[in-house]
Amino acid sequence: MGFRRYVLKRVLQAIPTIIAVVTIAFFMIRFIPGDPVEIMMGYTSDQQVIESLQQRYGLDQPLWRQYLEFMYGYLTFDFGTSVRTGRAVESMIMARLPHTILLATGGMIIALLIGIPAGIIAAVNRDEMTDDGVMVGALLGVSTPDFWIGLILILVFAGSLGIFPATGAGSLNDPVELLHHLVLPAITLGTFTASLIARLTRSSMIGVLEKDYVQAARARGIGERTVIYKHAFRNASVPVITVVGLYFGNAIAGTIVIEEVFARPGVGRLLLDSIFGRDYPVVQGTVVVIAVMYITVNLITDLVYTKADPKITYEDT
Amino acid sequence: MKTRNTFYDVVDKRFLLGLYRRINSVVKDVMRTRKGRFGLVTIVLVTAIAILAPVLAPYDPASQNLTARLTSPNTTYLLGTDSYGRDILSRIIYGFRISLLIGVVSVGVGVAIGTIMGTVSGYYGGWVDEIIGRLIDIMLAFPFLLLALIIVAVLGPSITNMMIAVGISAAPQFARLARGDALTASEKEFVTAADSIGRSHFSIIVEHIIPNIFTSVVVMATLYMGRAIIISAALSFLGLGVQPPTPSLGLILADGRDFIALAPWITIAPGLAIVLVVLGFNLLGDALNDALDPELQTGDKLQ
Amino acid sequence: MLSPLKRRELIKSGAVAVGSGALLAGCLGDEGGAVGEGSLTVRQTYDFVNLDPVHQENVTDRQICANIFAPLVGYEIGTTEPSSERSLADDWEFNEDGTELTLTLKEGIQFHDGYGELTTTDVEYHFDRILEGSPRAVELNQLNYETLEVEDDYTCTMVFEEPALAVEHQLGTPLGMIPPADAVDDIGENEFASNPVGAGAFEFVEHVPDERTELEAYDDYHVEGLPEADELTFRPIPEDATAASSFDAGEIAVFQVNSSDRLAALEDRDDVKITRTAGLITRFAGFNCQIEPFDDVRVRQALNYAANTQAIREELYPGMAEAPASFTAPDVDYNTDDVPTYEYNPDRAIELLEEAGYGDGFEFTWMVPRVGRFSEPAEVLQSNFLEIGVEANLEIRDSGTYTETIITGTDHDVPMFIHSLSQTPAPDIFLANAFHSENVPPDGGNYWYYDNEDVDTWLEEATTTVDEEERAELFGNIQHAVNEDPPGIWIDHEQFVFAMQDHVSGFEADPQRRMEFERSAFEE
Repeated sequence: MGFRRYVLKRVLQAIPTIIAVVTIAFFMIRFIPGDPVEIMMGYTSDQQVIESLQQRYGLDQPLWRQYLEFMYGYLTFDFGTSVRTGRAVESMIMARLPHTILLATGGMIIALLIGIPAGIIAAVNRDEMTDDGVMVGALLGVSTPDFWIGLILILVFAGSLGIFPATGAGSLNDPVELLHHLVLPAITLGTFTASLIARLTRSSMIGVLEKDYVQAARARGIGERTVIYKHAFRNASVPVITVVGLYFGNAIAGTIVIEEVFARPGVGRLLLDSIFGRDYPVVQGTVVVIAVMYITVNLITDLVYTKADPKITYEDT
Repeated sequence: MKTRNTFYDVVDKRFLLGLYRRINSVVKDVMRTRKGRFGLVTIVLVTAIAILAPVLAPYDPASQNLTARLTSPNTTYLLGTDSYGRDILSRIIYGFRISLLIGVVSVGVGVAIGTIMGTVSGYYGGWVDEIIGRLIDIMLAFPFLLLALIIVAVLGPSITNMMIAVGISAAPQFARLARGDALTASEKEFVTAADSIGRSHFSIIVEHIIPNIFTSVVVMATLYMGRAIIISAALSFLGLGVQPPTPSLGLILADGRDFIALAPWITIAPGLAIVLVVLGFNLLGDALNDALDPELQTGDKLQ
Repeated sequence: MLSPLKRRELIKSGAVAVGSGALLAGCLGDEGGAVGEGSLTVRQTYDFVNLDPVHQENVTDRQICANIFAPLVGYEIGTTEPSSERSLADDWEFNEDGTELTLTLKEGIQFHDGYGELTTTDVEYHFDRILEGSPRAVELNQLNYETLEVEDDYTCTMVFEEPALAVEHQLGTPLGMIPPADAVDDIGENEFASNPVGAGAFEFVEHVPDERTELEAYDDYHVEGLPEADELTFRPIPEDATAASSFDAGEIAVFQVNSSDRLAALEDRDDVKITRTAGLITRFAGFNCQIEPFDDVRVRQALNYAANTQAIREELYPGMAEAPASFTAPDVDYNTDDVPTYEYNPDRAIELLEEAGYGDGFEFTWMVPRVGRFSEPAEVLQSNFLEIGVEANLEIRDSGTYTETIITGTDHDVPMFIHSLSQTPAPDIFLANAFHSENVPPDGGNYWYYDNEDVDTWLEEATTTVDEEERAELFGNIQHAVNEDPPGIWIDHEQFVFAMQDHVSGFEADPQRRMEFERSAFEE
């Protein structure tokens, strides 16, 4: 099977998953205890108002019809109307999506920037103090709740030192301001992932450093730096790449907490606000968008990985 | 009928004896490494504190003393008091209890659902595998935190619902693991042999498949204990988890956040307590992993 | 780099907040102290939902609205005194029996964005929209509003079926905030909610969801020489701890202080100014008077005796809470101290419980919103109740669920809740809404399902009479009755406390929790 056909196959495989996600989003609010009509209608007991609102949200239709219309809406990028603001859900999400993508990407970059060098250093200095230090740090990183890290970073770097802003995301038109606002949240988000990547890089590097071709390179008198970075790391990075996609997906979900702590606009905070505000069309929209992003990122990583590693045959799925 | 009974008895005894020896050797292996020692000792210690909480705690963790609010650590209140004048040390001691409970129950739910799904899927194969496999894929299409968040939002916030939610969210990971192991095991000789002598599928699964996937599930469950505690802390922070005045470590931390500058002791000690527990489980999980299956890579298990 | 941008955009990108511009500049090491001149940033907890005065529903929305829209009858800032300077109406006068209010609009008041002059057409359109279905309709109905008679472009009369003196104090709320009729039509009802046009001191510029709402000074504001500031920005910051750090970093200039501990820390600093006022508000724990055992007045009294509200005020909120006697705040008209009160007395509480047949205590569910100012006193009361053997199981819910359950009344079986009621100087509407037996949820505010025939009668008489003495007596009776037969435990009247950077001037805490910034400026 050629790579192109493989890509097609994988993309086609993702479609039923996405349909299932949208279906879950549709039925989700129907599992909430209480009458969805009542929940969505809010404060009035005026029968006329209820009926007109029911009509507006299509809740007077039979369930299968509502479902089909919901699916059709998502297919045509019409996610319905927010109960609280009366605005189109897709536009509410699109207004915040860039900030969430930015934050998740920033978090991943920080994670890679810290995690990979830390892992390499640990592997090279295996079983020495440095290795222990890195590994203890990595363990602390996965064991500390991120909201706590965030609050402490805000307290120190924004409140006391005033080096970075405590809140907000800045304007999309101003890259400097945008980056300035991104530093603390990205570090907070990246810590967990950095720790995972450090551990993985370390174990992968240790495996590779013992391999014959690395020993051979050393024997040929190639400098240790070159051996490590050119020969060993290139091979050790393959398993790291595979999980980066998965971690990236989790980082997208991690933004929910970070956006709340740093008062940043974003899809995660929108999801939270709409859960609390009982704004179910928005909850549905954000859940679908986050899940689809997650699926897409995983798909892309999978494809990149397949392309990058010739050992994998395309039939393996 | 009679012969069958004795047959079972023999198998059960053998199985139990094997299990005992296995555990014994695993504990020895675990204790041989530094991280294993640290992890095991921490978890045993924390469990002991949790069980003995009523004896160890100097005060009732819920009793308020408004005249002693936000007292910094002193000889009366070793770790200070919170914004209601409650003793932080006592709350942490009980917090270990609640947090361990959260970890055990939610991972238990995840393991139960996940292993059943995975084993059935991997053992039967065919259309059963196809359907369950798709279901696992769909569940995996939601990030852990998001899935937990949605489930709590649907069920309503409470400690029980949170444990269910975290458990369900972890289930697909266990299902995936169990499915792979079950698939491998079901192709092995002893299973086909058991099948050919007419044993029921259920007894084959219980006697042959489960013991084979047992080790990897235990490793992953240990690692997920820490993850469950962290995720439940995040949910409590977002207001979707444990409800006051129940002192889970995550909730103590989340409750103290408004005082992080004014009374840092409210969050520092519980923060360190969470780190300790989670660290303990992660180290233990790592060590178990090394002891049980040195070939497995450690990093991605933490996922 | 920034030169091609227009002034508005320059300020937007360079100095969004008072301090972030300075911060950025400081960090990059150029032109120190480049604080956006006359730009004021205010913290709110949430982003707004709807800025259409007809549809706005919460404090956040109202606080922003008050700066964009001018009210028919406004208040002097920081007081409850009507001020004709700050009103769209030059003059407002009741007829003798209080059933007609004639409003004379100021001439030449211009709406933002070139929507022309304010006339009675806009007023008429506004009231029509309200009656078509908005949360405000309840207020008009309670006033027995009938119609608006338009005389000419500047004179109109609000006609009521019964005397409605209280309306004067409602016209300073969104009920009296008039948008231009054309703008609502042009922009559309939905869009208007996030693109409001008014005649207030500030014009709406931009809303970046969950990040900021930007307003700028309106040059043609009808009060000469105002507003002082060029820019006004509202920033939604959900976490109090984050907001405090943000204030320390100079990103926000004004924020409401919710914790006495934080207040104490801020009061010690000389670079911070504090403004405070007694709020027209009552915080209370409420019983559902139809649910056993709270249908027994002795049980409700017992829990009142068991509640150590003094400890809540003095230990939890020192300097931020006033002791309540009557349900109405002290500055509400006809407030009286001549009411029965409940000193903390657990022994008396136990006696009453025994009389009522609950000597062994009982257990119940108490729904509490996940908001500190409610969950904190609830946790204290919970431990108070435990002392007399009564076990309250707190169900701390997000405010969405809470509102839905208690306020919209989807679940009538919740035995206890906790809430605060914002009040107006005239007690007519909020008292009738809270205590008249017909005003149960979802349409009314009688969340405790309180049913007292005498109170019903007194309310009907008091709200429809113009005789001052009679009103005073009737409102006094009502306050006495609801304390004697208490449907709740009055915890306190909150103080509204705001902290501001010391270069901010002209902002004052307001008894009705308004945030009006037209006189606010910088002294640098």
